[in-house]
Amino acid sequence: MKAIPRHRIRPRFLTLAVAATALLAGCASNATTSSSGTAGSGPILIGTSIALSGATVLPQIRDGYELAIADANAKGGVQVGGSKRKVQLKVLDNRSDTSTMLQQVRTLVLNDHVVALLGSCCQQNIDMEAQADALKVPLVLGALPVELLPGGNGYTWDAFQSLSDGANGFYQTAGKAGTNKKVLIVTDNDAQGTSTAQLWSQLGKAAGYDVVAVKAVPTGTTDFSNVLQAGRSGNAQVLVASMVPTDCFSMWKQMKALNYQPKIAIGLQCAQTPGWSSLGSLGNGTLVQMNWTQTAGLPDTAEIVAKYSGKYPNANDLGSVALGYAEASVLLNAISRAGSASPSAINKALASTNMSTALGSVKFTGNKSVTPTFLGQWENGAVSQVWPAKGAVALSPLSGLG
Amino acid sequence: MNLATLAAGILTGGLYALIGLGISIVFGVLGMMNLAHGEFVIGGAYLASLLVIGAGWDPLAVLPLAMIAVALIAYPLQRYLLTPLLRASKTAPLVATFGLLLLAEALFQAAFGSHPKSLPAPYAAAGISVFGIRVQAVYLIAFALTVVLCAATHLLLTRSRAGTAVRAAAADPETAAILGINVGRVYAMTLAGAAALAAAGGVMTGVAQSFTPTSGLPLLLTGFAVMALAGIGTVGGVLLAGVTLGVLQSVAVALFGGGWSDVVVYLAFFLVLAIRPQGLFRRGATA
Repeated sequence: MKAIPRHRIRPRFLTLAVAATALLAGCASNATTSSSGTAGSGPILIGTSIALSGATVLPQIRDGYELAIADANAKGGVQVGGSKRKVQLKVLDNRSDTSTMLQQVRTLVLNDHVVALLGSCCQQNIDMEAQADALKVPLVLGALPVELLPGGNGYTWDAFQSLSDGANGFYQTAGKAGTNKKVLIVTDNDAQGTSTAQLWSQLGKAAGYDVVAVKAVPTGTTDFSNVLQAGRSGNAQVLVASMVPTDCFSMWKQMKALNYQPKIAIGLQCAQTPGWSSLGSLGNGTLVQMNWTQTAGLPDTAEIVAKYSGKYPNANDLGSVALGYAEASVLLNAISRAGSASPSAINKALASTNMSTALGSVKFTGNKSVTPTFLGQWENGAVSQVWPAKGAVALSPLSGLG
Repeated sequence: MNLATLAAGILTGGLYALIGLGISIVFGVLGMMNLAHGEFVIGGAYLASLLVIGAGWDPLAVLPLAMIAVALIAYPLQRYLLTPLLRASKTAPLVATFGLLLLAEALFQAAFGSHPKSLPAPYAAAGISVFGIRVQAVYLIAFALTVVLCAATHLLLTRSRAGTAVRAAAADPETAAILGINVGRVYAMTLAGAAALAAAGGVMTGVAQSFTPTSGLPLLLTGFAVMALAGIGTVGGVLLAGVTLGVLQSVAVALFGGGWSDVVVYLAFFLVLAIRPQGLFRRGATA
């Protein structure tokens, strides 16, 4: 047999040694992760796959999660059984991509062994529910109106506002604007948009409004001529738009240029972005549905404003921080009442949640809890609450499109 | 469908042509598909926003500055990164420009945040009647700008020494180099010029619509569709192709609804590639 030269033995030996060390380190790491998720006295690991880049960006919600967890850890952690345990949050950025989100959720549960999940936003939350059910891990979310949460297997818990409340509030407010009660509804053509259109149509009709047209457009639309034509031919003076912000920007500019002038308009999703202020005076008077305001007297407002008003001068962004804080608080409360870090015990405890949060009272009925809704109005780059009466200012005309 | 629909399509097509012109020139001269072209468009919009939103300047006044700034970024990218890659491999620049696309998106988000921005201007939401048809003023301005820039590009390519060098480098880079043409510099100037055109498109997009860090990719796809329709090496063809695409979109939206606007773009792209891959408007190999 031919002898292996010495100068070749050493590199091969080193390679094997490095590989073995890596393998052992990986096993140790997995062991650490798997043990910290559920048992022992180590930190309790919860996870979130959230959009921090891409088309929809939610660092505010992440900040709310981290604030709630930091507050809990500052008090020694969450009481679980006879001892306090710190909580650790693993945050993954899914780049606003649903397939990435689904993969990350599986990684969090199957590889990292998180005991529970916190949600993302909107359509992603709808898609995340199926994963939570399949993996049998509790998922606490907001940023999804309760009517839009599909029926699942009981692992998803939605504490957020109701579209119905927002729609009813809008139609009440619109009653003060002296319109002809004819409504044009335009939404994105995804599941959330379709549900939003159906709900706002139904509630509009129930409030005595005539829905003259309902249009669905794909994300990225820049030409709204057929939508405006429908609004003009139906003489709609009330506009309900539920689209991504960039699409609303294009539509608002086109409305102004082509002389379509509703008397009142609400930009669901789109007017919630602080970027709406870059429309300048064109955005003035647009209404926006909010889940939180500084003037509503909700718990934890002072802390959220003190810590985040510098980073997020816009009221809607602060509302998203409050949302994240509330969701995380609900989950931490359930972990504590469960007396255990097992996903099934936490899920059971969530069902009996009854607490006050940064978004208001939370008590689940059928996995849903409705939190208060507010309407705000844009004027000169800032949003002020106009409904309900407590904390509200008077409604201004829709001057931007006039 | 009515004349307003046709007019809107023609004017929107002007903006598409401005975005597609740069891609077409780069592919025609360098043989390189620049996947970062959409980021040059958005980069122009973001750079313009520094003066428009930050200091209240009019976007049209800032437009030349944005074009120069983006060109200055594109020149060294081509000269010192992409040209060496191009010489080494046909596919490496494609991967590199994709990497630049991702890098640019991340930089835009880090520097400007993720919220959408719009460039304010008195004509951003103004309407104007032309022969009794109501159109958006900003698209009329964008169309006029596109015609001017297309004409300038055509004249530069066909009537100047620099243009002769560009066409020589496009036709046969080895022979051009032997004849004393600095092909590396020509390539870099070509990408810089294409980037400047993209930046102009970005400023007008920012005024007419809005933009976010991820707005570049859909614009890149529109540019590819324009290039495919036009064929390589024809500036006038790009303008016609942009207008054709704009009209097709407008008509489809008017007849079938907003959901068909993207379908029309991609269908046109693939049909032309399948049936007439040299493009609808390409006559020969000249600009």
